[in-house]
Amino acid sequence: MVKTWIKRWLYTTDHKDVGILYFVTSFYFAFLAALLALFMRTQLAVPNNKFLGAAEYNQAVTMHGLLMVFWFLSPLGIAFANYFIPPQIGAKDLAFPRLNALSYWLYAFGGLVTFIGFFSPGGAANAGWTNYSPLTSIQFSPNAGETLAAAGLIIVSASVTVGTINILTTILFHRAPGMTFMKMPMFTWFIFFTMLQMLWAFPSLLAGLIMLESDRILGTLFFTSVAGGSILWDNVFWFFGHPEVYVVLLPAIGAVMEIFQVFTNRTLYAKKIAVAAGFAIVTISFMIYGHHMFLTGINVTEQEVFTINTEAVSLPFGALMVIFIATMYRSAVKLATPMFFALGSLAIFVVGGLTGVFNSSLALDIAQRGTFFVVGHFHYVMVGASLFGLFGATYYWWPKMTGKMLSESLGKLHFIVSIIGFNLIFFPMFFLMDMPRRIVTYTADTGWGPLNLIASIGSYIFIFGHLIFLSNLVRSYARGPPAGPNPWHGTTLEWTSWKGGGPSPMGVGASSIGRPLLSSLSADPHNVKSSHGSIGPEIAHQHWSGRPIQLSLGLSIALAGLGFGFPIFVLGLVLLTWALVGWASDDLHDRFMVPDEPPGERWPFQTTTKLKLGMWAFISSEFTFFGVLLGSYAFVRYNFSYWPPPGSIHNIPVAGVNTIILLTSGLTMLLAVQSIKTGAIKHVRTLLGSTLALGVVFMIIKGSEWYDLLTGSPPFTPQTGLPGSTFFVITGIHGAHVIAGLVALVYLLVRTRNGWTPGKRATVEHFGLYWAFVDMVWVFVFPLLYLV
Amino acid sequence: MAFASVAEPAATYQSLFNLYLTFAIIAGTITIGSLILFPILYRKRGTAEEPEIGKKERGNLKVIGLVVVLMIATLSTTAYASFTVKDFYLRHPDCKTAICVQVEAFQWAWNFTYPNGKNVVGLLRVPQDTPIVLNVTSSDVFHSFSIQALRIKTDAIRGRYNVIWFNVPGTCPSYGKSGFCEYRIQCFELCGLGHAFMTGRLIVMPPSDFTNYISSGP
Repeated sequence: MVKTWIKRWLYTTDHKDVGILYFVTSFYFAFLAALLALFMRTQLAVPNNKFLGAAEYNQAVTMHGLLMVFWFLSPLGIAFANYFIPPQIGAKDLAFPRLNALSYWLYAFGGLVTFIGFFSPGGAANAGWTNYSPLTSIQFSPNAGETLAAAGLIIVSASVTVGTINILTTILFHRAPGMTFMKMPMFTWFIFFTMLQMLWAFPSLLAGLIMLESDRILGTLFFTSVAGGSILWDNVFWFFGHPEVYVVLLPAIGAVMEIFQVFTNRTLYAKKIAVAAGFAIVTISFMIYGHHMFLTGINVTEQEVFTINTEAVSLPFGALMVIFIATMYRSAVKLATPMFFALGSLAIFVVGGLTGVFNSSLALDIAQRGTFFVVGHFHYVMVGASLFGLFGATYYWWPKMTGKMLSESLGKLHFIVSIIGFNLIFFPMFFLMDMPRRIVTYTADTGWGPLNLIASIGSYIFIFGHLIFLSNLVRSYARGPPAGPNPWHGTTLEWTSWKGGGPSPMGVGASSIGRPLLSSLSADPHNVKSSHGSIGPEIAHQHWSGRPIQLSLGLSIALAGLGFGFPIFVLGLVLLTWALVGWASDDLHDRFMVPDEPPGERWPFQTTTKLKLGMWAFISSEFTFFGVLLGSYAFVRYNFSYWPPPGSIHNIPVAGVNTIILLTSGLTMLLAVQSIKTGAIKHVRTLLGSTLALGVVFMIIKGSEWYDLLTGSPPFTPQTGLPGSTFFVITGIHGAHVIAGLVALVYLLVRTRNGWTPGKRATVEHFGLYWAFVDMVWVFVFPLLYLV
Repeated sequence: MAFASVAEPAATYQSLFNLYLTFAIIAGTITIGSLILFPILYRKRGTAEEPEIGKKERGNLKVIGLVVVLMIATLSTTAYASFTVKDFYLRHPDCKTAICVQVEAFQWAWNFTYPNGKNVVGLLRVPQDTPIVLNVTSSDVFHSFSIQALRIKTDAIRGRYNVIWFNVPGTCPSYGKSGFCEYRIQCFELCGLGHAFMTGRLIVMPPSDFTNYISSGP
């Protein structure tokens, strides 16, 4: 029994189980990060305090930021998305259940890899969550902790990429009949926006981290050189970093919208404008990151554009605020705990948003940059708006997840204590405009003592509030009163008859979607029945797969090996290979079967398949990834005084022939896909084999090219200069993509050795997309790196 | 530019800050006020009114449009004011009228080099009522140079030179242990273990004292 229980939580791919795993894990990391925050506030409570040393403080400040942003706030939103998006849109599960488990385990292990830095010599990462270079270079931060933090972030980027593709595909492809875009609940909408941002923002971080790790381990010069250095990192990091703020915020806003509708007993005022505002936020969020760089000395016109764009992003948020207030106007507001937290989240967000307008000014930023004013501002947005919103979501959805009610009085107490504590911590910071961030201590003559003391007292009150929250959860789980299927009279689909913990309501009938459902629900919430029976446990077991956890463990150990040494790296690779082979063999023997979703609302993707949709989502994220890499190349090259002329380093004829070989492999792959479409199936395996052979030849020539460069005289290596660094890293990453493609080709050939099925044909087609993309990247890489 | 009665550009900064603060307080009061007032006003009482769910979706573009237009007007005003102030910050006097000092940040102090080659770590002495131009860079990691009370700051980055200027009048908010007017110089970007202690002192002296100081050897 215990064994089954353990196995369930390690092997589950069910969206609700994975949601609960996300939920619990994110609170675990929140606990660690909150302890670090408490240490910091204790240290800063009085001037000249010696509670923490500078080394400990810098680690605390760094890990607090990293854990809270990447391992708590964002994943808590994802937890609710996992659990409630499928039922909200009438789907059985997420589009790719195993990838869902994979994204969870990558997230969890990534956090551990980062956190384990505390136990390595030299301690955890200590250069701030922003990882500003060149402080993060091996010269200034030789500790393994920094390498481990970057490794953990690489793992979490992988997790995010997999997860976003999954949720996006689910929302686009798994909506029940009748669940058109405009009928989608607002939480689903805002998760959709979040996913779009994550999909295109995280690859920038990933590219930056790969360059950083290659600087630290291989000795490349991206961030240690003057041509790249601080400004390159700032661009790469903040292109990711600013959208990340909205990534953390939007799930909370979506949840607050759900809560508002239920607890005002009104539909959202001007829902269409709310959706439009969401799209506007996504778009503008990618065009404002420069406001983090006003004082680096970037061009003043750029600064003015970034100021205007940053102020522009407050327009959709202003519209949202009007929508919230107008929804309440002449409504019937039920002041239950979720509504308190929703209102608190919005009120705090107003303060965070308005102080953000101060920071958007290229002039006001001069004094505010790097001060506690900024700390106050972003905590009002990230802690205040996001955390209070997500607490609201917890109070709102907990009864559905557990089937038990939470205590209202403890909930309200939690709200009052935490809103007092929160404002005591962060409001004084607006008056600490002369105090730098991230300092371990200050002298008494600065006059910063009293305000810091108030903030520190506030932090203890805030933590106490969360102990109330925790006790409320435990108490409810142990002996809370039963919740019933719809305790709040919710109007979205997750509140239909399905009880928490059981199977999802599968494909609830088309007629009950949208407003007819709303009215029937408010008439009698117990009346609506799921149109499907429940799945028995024996079928549920087929949903188990050990591969996601094995694969994540392998990748995490391998990347932890970057910090702990080569043997660990190899061990991880072995495990990773074993997991991949296992995964492939599961598929070859059809060991993992997910029942197909009946067709529903798929506009505008009626004619495509969900794997193709997922592949396109992946390729779009790869566009950002290679875009950032090639952009970084252009940046350092533009800033570097001497670049070897074309032909002086590289053998252009050989590389040209190699390009032709790769493009020919693209042609054979294209022919394979065409043959499948026209039904000439017998040539397909030959064509796939030719693609494989051409790809292998490409890699062999590439390898000999590398060998000649590395052993030539004088040798051209990653360490000898930026031309070498950029060449080896970019062609290396492209080569890794080719190798991944070749492995997939081998798998395709094995899989199709005895006959074809429609599924196998589709897989070849989807692989064709990937291979075309890899070829296309080379079409950019070859001229940029060899010919100009 | 000489003989400022108030410290510049700090005074200009403060007027811009006040403009933002005024707008923020107005907007904040209205929004937070409604967020507190509406739930009290429309709190559901014993007899619930007929639920609105199922009725036609509401939404009035005019209200939202009006608010957005108001916001655009406000933000344009503040943005324009910001551009003007930034322009004031950028228009630094040249080294004929001002005293130009090279500032090199390193872990964890500041190295000041005067035009005559005099070189001091941690202490920046300047004459009052005279524009001072600082050319800031770093020899190692990313730092940020600031004299916060004077509302000036710029990042110190290796390979880059960022210029800031200021002008301090004879009136003094606080006298330091040198007996002269002093301001705190501090690093505002996490730069390693010594970040919190990467401070310096700006000492503002009467011009005659400064002349003596600057000519008194390295």
